[in-house]
Amino acid sequence: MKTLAWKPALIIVSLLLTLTYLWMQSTRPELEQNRHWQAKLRLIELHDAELMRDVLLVRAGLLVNYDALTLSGQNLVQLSQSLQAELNPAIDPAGQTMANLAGNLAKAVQEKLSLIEYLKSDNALLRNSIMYFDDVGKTLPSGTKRVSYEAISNLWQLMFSFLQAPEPDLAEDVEQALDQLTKKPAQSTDYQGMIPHGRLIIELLPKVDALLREVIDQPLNNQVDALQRAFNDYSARLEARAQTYRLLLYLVAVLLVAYLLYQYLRLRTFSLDLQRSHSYLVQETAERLQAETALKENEARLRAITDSAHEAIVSTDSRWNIVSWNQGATLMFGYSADQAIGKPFSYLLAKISEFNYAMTLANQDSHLELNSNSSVHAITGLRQDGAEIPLELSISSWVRGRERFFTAIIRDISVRKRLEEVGRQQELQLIQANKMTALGTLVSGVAHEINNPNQLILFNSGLLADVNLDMLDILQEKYELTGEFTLAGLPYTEMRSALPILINDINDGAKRIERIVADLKNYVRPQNSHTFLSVSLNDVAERAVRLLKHLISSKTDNFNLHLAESLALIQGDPQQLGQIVVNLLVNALDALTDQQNAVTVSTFMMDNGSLVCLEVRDEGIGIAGEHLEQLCDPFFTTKQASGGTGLGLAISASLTHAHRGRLSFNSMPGQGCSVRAIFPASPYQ
Amino acid sequence: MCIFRIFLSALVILLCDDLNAQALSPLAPLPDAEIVLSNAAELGKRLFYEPKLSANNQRSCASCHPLDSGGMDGKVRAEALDGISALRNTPTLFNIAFNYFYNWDGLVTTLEAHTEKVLLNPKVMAATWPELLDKLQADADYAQAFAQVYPDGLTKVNVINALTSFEHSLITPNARFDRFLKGDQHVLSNDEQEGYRLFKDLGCVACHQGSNIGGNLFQKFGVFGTPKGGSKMLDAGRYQVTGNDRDTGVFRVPSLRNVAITAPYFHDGRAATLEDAVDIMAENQLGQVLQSKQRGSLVKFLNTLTGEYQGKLLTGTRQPKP
Repeated sequence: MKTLAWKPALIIVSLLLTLTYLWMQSTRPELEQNRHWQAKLRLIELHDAELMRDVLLVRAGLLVNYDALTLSGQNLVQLSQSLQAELNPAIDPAGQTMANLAGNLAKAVQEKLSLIEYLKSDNALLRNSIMYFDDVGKTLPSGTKRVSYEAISNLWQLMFSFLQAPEPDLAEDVEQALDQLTKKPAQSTDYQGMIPHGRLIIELLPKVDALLREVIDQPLNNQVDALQRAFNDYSARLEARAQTYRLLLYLVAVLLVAYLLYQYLRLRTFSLDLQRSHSYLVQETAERLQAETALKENEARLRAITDSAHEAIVSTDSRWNIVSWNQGATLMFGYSADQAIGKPFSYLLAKISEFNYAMTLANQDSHLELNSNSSVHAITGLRQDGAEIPLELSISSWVRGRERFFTAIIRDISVRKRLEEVGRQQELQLIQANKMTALGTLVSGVAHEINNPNQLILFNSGLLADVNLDMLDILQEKYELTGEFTLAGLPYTEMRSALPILINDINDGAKRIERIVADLKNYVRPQNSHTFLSVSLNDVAERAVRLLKHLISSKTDNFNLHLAESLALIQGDPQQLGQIVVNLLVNALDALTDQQNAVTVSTFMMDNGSLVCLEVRDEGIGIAGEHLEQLCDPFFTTKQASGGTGLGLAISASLTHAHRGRLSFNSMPGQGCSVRAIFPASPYQ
Repeated sequence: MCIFRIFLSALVILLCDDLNAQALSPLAPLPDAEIVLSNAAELGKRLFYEPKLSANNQRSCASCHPLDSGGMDGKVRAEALDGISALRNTPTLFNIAFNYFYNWDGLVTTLEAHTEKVLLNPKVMAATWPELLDKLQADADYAQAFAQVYPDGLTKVNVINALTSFEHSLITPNARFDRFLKGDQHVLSNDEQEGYRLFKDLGCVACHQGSNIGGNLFQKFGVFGTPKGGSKMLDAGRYQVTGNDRDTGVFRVPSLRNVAITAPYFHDGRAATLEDAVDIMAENQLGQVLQSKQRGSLVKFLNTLTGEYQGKLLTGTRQPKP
């Protein structure tokens, strides 16, 4: 566009320059000067006329004050001289001619003025003398002698005639008359004076008239006319030239206008184009503005999201210095944004090696290029207060300009980890419960199947014992008869003592099977809560103690029973409650290692009477910590060797649950154990 | 034809000119507008009293034209710088603006030319322009003053302009005779009025006319016989200017304003008193012998021509009254 613009500008400027040049040529200062000179010339003419007027007036005696006359003369000289001075520098022939003419004029003026000076002087004298004559003439009749009178009268007459017509012969006559008067004897000083005055008049009058004629003849007008003509010629020539320039001026102006018109039309075309593209531009601008607004909104939303995220979103530059820090990061690490920005990212890490490892993995994953879908890594973070927190980190990189930036999204997974742990526990419990349920179903089915043949064994073993008693007499007789013989490969003497034992063992085994099956049935059989009564836990405890009196006394010498007075009643089945207490008490007794170890059973109220508690405390071997959780599992037993089934506590716990109560164990290995069965107090007291 | 044309234009101008009424009166009063010095004139006043204007740094304009004693030196002839050359009588500088010719012989017709001529005259100030301008330029005060008054500062033309501006202000209006001319009939005594009448009737006024009562034409000194009391030294007068024989012994008719205080009189100072001067004038210029009473009246009249400078009646303190 710039290269396009200078060309028309150059054309227009050159046209304008041409116009200026032509305009200056068409109004050359010479023209103005010429007019100025002409005006001066007219002024000269005017002053000359003025001068001539004054000269005539002076001569006529009408002007007796020479100031105006002298002033006109001096003005005339000044004008003519200044005109000459102005024309002098002219170099061309025309100018030279004019300068010469002006010089002639100045000279003529000078000459004329010097003539006028003489005229003034002479006229003054002439006027005085004539006046003297006049004065003396007026006083003529009085005081004069007759002789003189005639002579003087004659002289006066002659002089008057001479004044009328200053002819030479009249002058001679006056001269003669004056001579006569000179010869006469002196009259008075007045008459004496007439003689020189008369002579002066005769001398001066023709001189003054000659001077006047000369002044009038001084060809000032010719000079002025000649100069005027020269001026006219000169101005005509200038005018002709100026006319040419004006014509050129007009033509160039037309050219300029045409060019401007052409440029205007071009400009119009351009402006239409421009308008069109402008409207496009406006539209585009609006679109961009809209896009920008959307971008801003996006950015604001992104910021809101970033700040509202629970995750820490941290960006770093390529040297891993933190450049951005969100609200989540502050909450997670404890540093405020001001504190964090500028610090190296490693400040946030408990184990740099962990991070480096993650980075190495990430680099391997993405071929040394961190990208947006880089994988998630678990690391350990370091809070401001020094606490370590499990974190999950995902890193992506982005490039702005030449610099590369990393953004890490960090999630605090400590809660999740804990939840995961709990869930795993629950899952295990569920698996355990399922296992138990399946076991229960299996057991209840199996128990029945076992019970029947077992009853047969029991019954038959009794019978078999009777058979043995009866058979012994018979066999004794045979032994006595026949001596030693064998039964089932064994000698009769051995068998005689062993057989009752064998049969007794069968009976015992069958009984044991029977008890186990009964226990299994108890465990599996759903408890019926409809039979619940208001029961005193004190009564239940007393009955259980009474029931186990022999066992207690066989295990310990230090048994205590502390029953709370006015213990609140609970809702429950006295049979089942009794079974719970018996179970607990048996376990306590089983745990004892020495006769001196104490076992205490106590009842009391808890939680302001809302709960009723029965505690069994022993000084036995105690329970290992890892066994505490498994205590109530079925078939968990530490008394496998001494015939524990592992069902006692399971049944007790099950029964306690059925009574809306719970079992609580508190034990340290080797320190004894205390078990509490806690039941809600019955609303019906 | 030419004469007719001139006559016609003269007639036209005559008819149209309203100054003609005044033209018939030979004498005119001086304008008595208050004179305020322009900046140029103030500067000119300093220069007027400045001895540096002369080559020997001893003469100023005021040396020969002391304004407190009639604007002239009161000597018979001016004192030449070289002490040998004979100069003419120093005329007063007052009312010089109303003169049309300067010097006794009318060598120049403008005050500017006259001022320059006097400055450069080796017999008077003997200054040269380069030297004079250097001297003034060396004085910081002058350099600054000129710079303030004139855009082009200290130049030859501006020095002349400053001086002539001041000289133009040397006007002595409000002479008693002027007041009489303006219509105050009682300001002149009978004797003085008689003197004025004689001044006109005897023909003095034929030459001493105009607002400056002289100074606007030339006349032969001694129309009727040679005036008495002249020195042996001959003065060709205006002949020195024109080279025309008829100008031998012709001098400028001086202004009669302040004549009473500007003795001695004539170009060569031959008349010490006004009475002598009047006598010489009557006898040799008018061809008449005055009676003593006439002379007395004329002298009294001439005394009424003394004007006021800066509101004070002009006095010639150096010249004791006869």
